[in-house]
Amino acid sequence: MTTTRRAAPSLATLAVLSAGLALTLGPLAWMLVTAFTDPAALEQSPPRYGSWSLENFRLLFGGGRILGWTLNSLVTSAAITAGQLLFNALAAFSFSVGRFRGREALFWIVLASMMVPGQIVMLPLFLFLSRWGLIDSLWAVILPSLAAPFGIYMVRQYMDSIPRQLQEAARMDGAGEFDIFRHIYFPLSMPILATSGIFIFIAQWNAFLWPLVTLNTEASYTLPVGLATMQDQQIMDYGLLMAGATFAALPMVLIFMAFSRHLLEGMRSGAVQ
Amino acid sequence: MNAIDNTPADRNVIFFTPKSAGGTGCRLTRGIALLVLLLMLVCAGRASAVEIEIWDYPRWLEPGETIDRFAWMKKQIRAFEAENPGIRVRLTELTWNRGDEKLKIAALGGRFPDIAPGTVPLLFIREGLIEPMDAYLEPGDREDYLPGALDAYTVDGKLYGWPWYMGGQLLFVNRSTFASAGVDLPPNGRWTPETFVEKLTRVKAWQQGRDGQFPLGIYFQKNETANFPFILQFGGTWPGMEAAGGAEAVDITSGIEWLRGLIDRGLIPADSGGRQSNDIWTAFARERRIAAGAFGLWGIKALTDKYPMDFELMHFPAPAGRPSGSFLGISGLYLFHRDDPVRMKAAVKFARYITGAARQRDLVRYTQFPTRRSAGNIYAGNRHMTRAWEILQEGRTVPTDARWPQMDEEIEQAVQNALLGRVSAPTAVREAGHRISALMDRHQGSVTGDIRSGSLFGKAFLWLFPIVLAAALCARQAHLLMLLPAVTVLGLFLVYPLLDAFLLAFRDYRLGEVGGFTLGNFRRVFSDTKFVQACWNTGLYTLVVVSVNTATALIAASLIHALSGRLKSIYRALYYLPGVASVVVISMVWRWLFNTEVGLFNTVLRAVGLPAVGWLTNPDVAFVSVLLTGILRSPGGAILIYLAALGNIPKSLYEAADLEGASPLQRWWHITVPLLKQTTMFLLITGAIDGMQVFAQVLMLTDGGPGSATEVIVHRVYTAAFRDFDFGLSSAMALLLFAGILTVTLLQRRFGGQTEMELA
Repeated sequence: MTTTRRAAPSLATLAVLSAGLALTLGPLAWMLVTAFTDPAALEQSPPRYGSWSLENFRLLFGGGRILGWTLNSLVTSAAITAGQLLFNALAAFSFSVGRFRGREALFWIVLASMMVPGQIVMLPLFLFLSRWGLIDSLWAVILPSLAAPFGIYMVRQYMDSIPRQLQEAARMDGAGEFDIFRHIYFPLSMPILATSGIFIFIAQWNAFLWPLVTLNTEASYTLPVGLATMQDQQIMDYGLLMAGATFAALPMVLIFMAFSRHLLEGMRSGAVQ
Repeated sequence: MNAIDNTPADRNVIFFTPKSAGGTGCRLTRGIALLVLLLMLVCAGRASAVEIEIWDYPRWLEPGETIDRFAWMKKQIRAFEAENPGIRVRLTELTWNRGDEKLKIAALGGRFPDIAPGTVPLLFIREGLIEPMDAYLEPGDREDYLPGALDAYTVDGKLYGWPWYMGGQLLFVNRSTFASAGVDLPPNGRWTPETFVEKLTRVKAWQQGRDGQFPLGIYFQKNETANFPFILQFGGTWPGMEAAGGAEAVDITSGIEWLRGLIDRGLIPADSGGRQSNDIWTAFARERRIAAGAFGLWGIKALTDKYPMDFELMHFPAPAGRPSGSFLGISGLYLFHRDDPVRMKAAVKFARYITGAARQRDLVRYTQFPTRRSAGNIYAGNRHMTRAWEILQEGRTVPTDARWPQMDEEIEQAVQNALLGRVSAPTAVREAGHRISALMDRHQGSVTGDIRSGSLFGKAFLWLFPIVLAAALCARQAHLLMLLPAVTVLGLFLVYPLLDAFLLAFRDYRLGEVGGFTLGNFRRVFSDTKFVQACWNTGLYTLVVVSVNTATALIAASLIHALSGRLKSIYRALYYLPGVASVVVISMVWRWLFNTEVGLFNTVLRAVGLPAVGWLTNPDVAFVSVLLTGILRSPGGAILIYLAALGNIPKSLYEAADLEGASPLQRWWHITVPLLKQTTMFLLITGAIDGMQVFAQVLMLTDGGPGSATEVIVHRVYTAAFRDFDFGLSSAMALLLFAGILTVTLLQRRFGGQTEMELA
């Protein structure tokens, strides 16, 4: 609670912060403990802890299903990240640079659509996609997420700050609009695109409700949906469940560690609410 | 899957280099050529064989298998394909509980297999999706089936499936516990309610002083009929269906009151109304804290292999002369209608093959009974299965009505609430009766009809959309062209469904497929007690979790801000870390921690001699547990936003305070907190918008139960749409949620908008 930076942090401060961490990281720690405990020991009554083993992970991968779910998660998250970044950037570019009638009105509509929560359109969208025969395919997850109002808004804000002289100079040299986008605006927007790309990827990796509704057979499940159905099995095998949870959380933790700088700076600049 | 991999990259190429048309064209042609080649290959493969698809649930483990519960089916498929070279069978693996829900959603969405497993599919039959099998029966088939087997698949005189096996739910008793307590079991397996209670009381007396031990455990939850014989033992019929059955609803009331009596005597756990089959099974088979319970026939196998126990199967208690009335079910395979007669025939052939007498003999590993006489008595010499067969002779089945799942849910919930003492048994039964009657009056229209017909708005939109696109293209405006992809996606997948949602919410199902316009859905929303409960819970969740999270974020951020260098970045990162794990993962861990029988919390409580808590099973505690998971989720994002705001506070403001000798706490409270007001407002409002959409935690932790104690709005919207297929009701509730979120968003524009712009 002191703002003097040079002073050594008080023990009380560290104690409070560490206690908070223990509470929030506690469940994750327990997940790891359970995942790495021998399933036979977990079956004891009450469960015994302390005998470590990788058996839960062997069982997890033995079924082979989790690899398919992971692949589905990877495909959808990657496709959505790539598609959304491109489409958002293109739209943001035309909103920022374009001079056409109805530009602000259209932008306002895009902004307003941010307010529509996904649950409203869930049912009509499901009916719509099932008319197209897309239910139970990864397309059902990918297509609706290929553009996002918030992303368009973010990137436009960023592009607005790029000096106009650059595009004017390029036009003098005979560059078309697509060239200006490709050679000036897209590369210059890389910082915001990278940050939002990471956020899109994480959000899609963790997406649950919409994949739960549209993906209906085991072969098409993404990881969260697959894990949720694992939890529904008749006999609760918590060692296996926690191994699955660990495996699903791991890539996100790795991404976080690799890009934590980007992520935290992105948060600071309000890249994501 | 390959197509999905490739497409975005291809599009990149197309959009990035419109000028270098040669290169793009070249790649495009190559791509198309490859696609055509692939298609030809696939078609060539198809032409030689009929392919049929079967979806199946996990079954038993074949000897030597440790994990693959589909190994038997795969073996049969291989054998069948060898015998029938012209037919190829593709297997799609379903999962147990949610598999049924998934099958329904997929089938109504038009994505159905040729063959699916389960009891008679009344919903699909009503929708006209199932092919009658009468024409495919061969001479002798009818005589070969055991009595009742074909009846179970007969609706309006037509046969809709191939009966495979018969299962049931029976009362399991731990013989060693009863023996230790000096209580003998009636040798013929029958007991009247009086002797039953008397014996349980003696077991209880022996268990006295051991925490969490009970002579009997019961559970009432969706799709679990196992314990219904207890409430039906005095006769009677289901509430709301008196017209059909003719008896008085008072009778099931007396069954519920009898169970309440067991709670009062401590013979069953006090939170019995909230317990789930998993809990009771763990307590019975693994922990041995409960001496008797009702489970499916699968329990026989599990108590032989996995948790070896000296057990006995008993009749459910019933007054002398009445049948004990266990619930039994006939399961089999049914076929979806296809216009292709060759494919249809192939599917029938495979269904016959799987459910034939030879394959039915393998059921011995599944502890289920064959439905064909020619399979013979596969359980000769098996004491438990022989007893089970005797008991099931007095068995009964659930009503044959496509709306049974919803009726079941109402009944289960009435029983839960009555057992939990929230309402009296007569009131619970009466209210459930009203709701079930209302249910029976509704839903005359076809769900698939609705799906296929589309909506007025939708059609208008789909016509208008290409025109707008064409206009944009004709305008030869590069910027419009570049807007196209995003606008198309948002238009098709956001605006159009939104318009549709309005239509659905104002449509009436009683008028059939075309649908008149009505406000009835909104009236039903407010008489839906689950929705009202959901609104309270959602409000409470938003209020508690958002305010606590914002407060902790403020405190944590202030503390972290005071740190410096490495320590600061480490704490900042660690506080953000849990945020990258999905809610599903976190909820799974919480559910494990909260587990009544073997979870960490109750294990610790028991170890220090305190009574266990029904974290997710006691309706008074369950929602607090849900709140707890929300509160203990680190508000990492909010902390970072606070840190950014703290960094913007000029140091000079504090220097003045220092001169006046203010303590750190005073400076924080009088300077820092007021200066952060804008940020706080912003976080509260965005937090509230998120909080109102809480869903995944609830689905994973409690699925809205026990009763409707943890129901939240989005969960109710989801269940109304995809479990009850009541599209009007679901859309009406979704619109109300939208209105709520819109209000809060407008508040944000009014009070918090500035901060958002600043941060952005």
